[in-house]
Amino acid sequence: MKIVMFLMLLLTGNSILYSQKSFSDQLILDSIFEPKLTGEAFIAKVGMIGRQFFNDEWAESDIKLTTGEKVSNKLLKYNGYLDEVVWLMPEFFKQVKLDKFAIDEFVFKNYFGKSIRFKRINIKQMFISDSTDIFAEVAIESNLSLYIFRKIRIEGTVTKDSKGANYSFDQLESAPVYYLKLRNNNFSTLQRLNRRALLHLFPEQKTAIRKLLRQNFQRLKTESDLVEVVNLLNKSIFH
Amino acid sequence: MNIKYLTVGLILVFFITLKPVIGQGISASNNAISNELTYIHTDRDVYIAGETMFFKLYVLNSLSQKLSDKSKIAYLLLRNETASSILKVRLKVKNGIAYGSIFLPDTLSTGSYEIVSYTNWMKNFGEKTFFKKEIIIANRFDKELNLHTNKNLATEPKTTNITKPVDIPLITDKQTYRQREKVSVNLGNSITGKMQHASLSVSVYEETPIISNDYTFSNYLFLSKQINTDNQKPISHAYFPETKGEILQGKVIDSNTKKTVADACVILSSPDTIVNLQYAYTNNKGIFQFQLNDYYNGKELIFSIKDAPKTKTWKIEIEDEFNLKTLFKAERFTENPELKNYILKSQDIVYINKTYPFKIVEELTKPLITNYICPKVYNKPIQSVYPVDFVSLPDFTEIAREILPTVKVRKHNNTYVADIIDTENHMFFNKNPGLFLDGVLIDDINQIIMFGTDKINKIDVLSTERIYGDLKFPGIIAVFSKSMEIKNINPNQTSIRVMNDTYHPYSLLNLNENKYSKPSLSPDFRQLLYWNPNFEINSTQDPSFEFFTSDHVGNYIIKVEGITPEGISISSSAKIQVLNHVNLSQR
Repeated sequence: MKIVMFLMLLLTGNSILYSQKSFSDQLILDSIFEPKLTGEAFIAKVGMIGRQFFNDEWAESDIKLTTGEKVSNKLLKYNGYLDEVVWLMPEFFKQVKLDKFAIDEFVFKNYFGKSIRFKRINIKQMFISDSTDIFAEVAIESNLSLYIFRKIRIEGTVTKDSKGANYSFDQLESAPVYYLKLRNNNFSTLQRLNRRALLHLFPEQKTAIRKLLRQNFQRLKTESDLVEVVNLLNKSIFH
Repeated sequence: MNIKYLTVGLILVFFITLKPVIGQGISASNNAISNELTYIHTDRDVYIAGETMFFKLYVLNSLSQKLSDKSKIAYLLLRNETASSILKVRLKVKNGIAYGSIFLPDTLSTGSYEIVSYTNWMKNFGEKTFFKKEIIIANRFDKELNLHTNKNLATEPKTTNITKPVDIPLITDKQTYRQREKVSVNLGNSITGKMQHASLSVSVYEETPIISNDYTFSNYLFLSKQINTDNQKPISHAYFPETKGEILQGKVIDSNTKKTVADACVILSSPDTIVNLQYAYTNNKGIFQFQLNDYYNGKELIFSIKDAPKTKTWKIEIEDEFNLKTLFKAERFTENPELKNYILKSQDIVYINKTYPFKIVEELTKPLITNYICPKVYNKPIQSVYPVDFVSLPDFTEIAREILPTVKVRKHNNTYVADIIDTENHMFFNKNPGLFLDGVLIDDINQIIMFGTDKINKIDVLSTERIYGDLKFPGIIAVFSKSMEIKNINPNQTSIRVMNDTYHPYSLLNLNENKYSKPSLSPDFRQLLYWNPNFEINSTQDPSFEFFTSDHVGNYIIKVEGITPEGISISSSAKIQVLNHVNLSQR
């Protein structure tokens, strides 16, 4: 049995060897003439309690620029409070806030064992007259797409006593916003995670959606419920 | 028992799969260092100065002899024994193919010329691997016709009797034609039966005396295979394949010591209304390389060394991609009275054709520019100021004082220095900001200090520490002048300017069939009856073509060259005769 396992391992090795060789030339060239990232020096805001960043640890990432070029293996963090991508220049240990308009997408290649893709989308936010560009996590991209804006906002202030003096700190809270995009490229904001909010977005398909959710015993209380619901809608209604 | 069978089976599968993997590994690694080869099919071998030479260029992998998808740029030059390069052409290669035309200037002297073609990757394997073809160009007014050829050579030494070209039948509807008559040519059913697809170039031209038709694609590839083993050993690793754009290479040298300078930061910018920059560090041999995309096509390139020590005399030398080390020695053609008479006749024909001109070349509007990416230093400025919106100010000191609130220009030791307030920390950087004029990095504000509002169109200010790759700028001031003042300014003591030529356009022979299908008052003495570099064979299309004879009687050669996706070369030729009405009726 051990021999069988050993041979199977060798066979797997063979196929890996085969697949890796053909791309090596282009990869070397791409790394030599890699496009340059642009941005400005970044210093994280202090005087806050809670997480400013979506990922606390620097994540190895690939970036797709608006020019169509790709930049690989850069250490990135996504700042949800500022909605900005921060790059760690390893040569100088300097943090750089990358120019938002130069980036189309970025992918955290290994975020707790899975890859997470963020995309720059143009949406109309509540209480802001102009449309703005935001980075949103791509949860589902299909006929009905789901994007999650990993927003972090100030929920209030906390006063803390330190060595006899009182200091005021902003309390940060995660406040994700869910955007659904239909085939006509229009974005709709899902205000709350419940059935009524979802049905409100699709008045024409209201009955069909209600029936579908009932038939599948599908709840809509959490983010993972929403992902399942959107998958279900893509299969049955928006196919 | 089952496990035993499974083990034996797996051992067999392992060895079966191991062999191709090892084979692929070698082939893949060979592929990584394998050379390319180029071949040029020209419409003819003999030209009169003032005519247009049509050509199709093929780029192949030298091992598989299939069309190469590696190099996207090829170089073609025309030279003679006295001049290293008379015409230089940079071509964009699409799927291993490029085509076009070159106008041969009227001033060219009579003699043997050489067409040389290569890719950047081929430079690693030496100039002996470059494609070279000797042609004759005769000056229109030269009746002496001293061809300066090697008189000892009786025939073409290089290609005759090497191998017979692949025999593909060229079936014409007749053997003999009248003037201005339609000729139909079919490539025969056998070709479509064997080949699903092939990219061909077709030329129909008047037969040239003593010049053999054995100089073919098939012969060239056969010859290349014979010397393949020698040509697969790279003699240098300095040149990259140009897979995404032209790779421009140069050196930084200390003028005093004549030694190369390592780790120097070379900056490339191009005058523009956008601040653009690329940089590269020199390696231990002092060499730097830039990959130029289509943004740089036809633009002036300005190279400078960033932070070059003022005490040193560093200079940049850009390598001329058309500079060949080996010289051309004419040896293909011989002095021959028949050839001389043919050229004298061709001179008269060209004279007539020049008197009754028509558009010979049809330039294709197909966009060659596909990869236009400007390397922007910033996307959005923090502050953009248009001085025209303000009262007229005499110089940049006044402009900074009155309308640039975050910029301070002051005099220090009789020179001017600029400083920017860091809007993040609300204090001056106390370092020189990145200063750009018309998109180009300049190192001294004193060069623009006399610029008043009459000269400046726009000023962009970025008052944060800007990062571009691993370069840091303590703020940026970008000045855009009204009349590209960068032309009159040396951005840096080490700066050099290079004009980057545009890619040579794709072009075809203009075949206006209606002109030749009916008698016309204007004479038509074309010696080139048909040229199609884009003749495709596929399983659905009938492999045939048509053209019209001219008023010029004589023997004409139909020559077809090309290659299939499998790397099978095609070279075939046939002969037709054009007679005038009297001769034809006598027959």
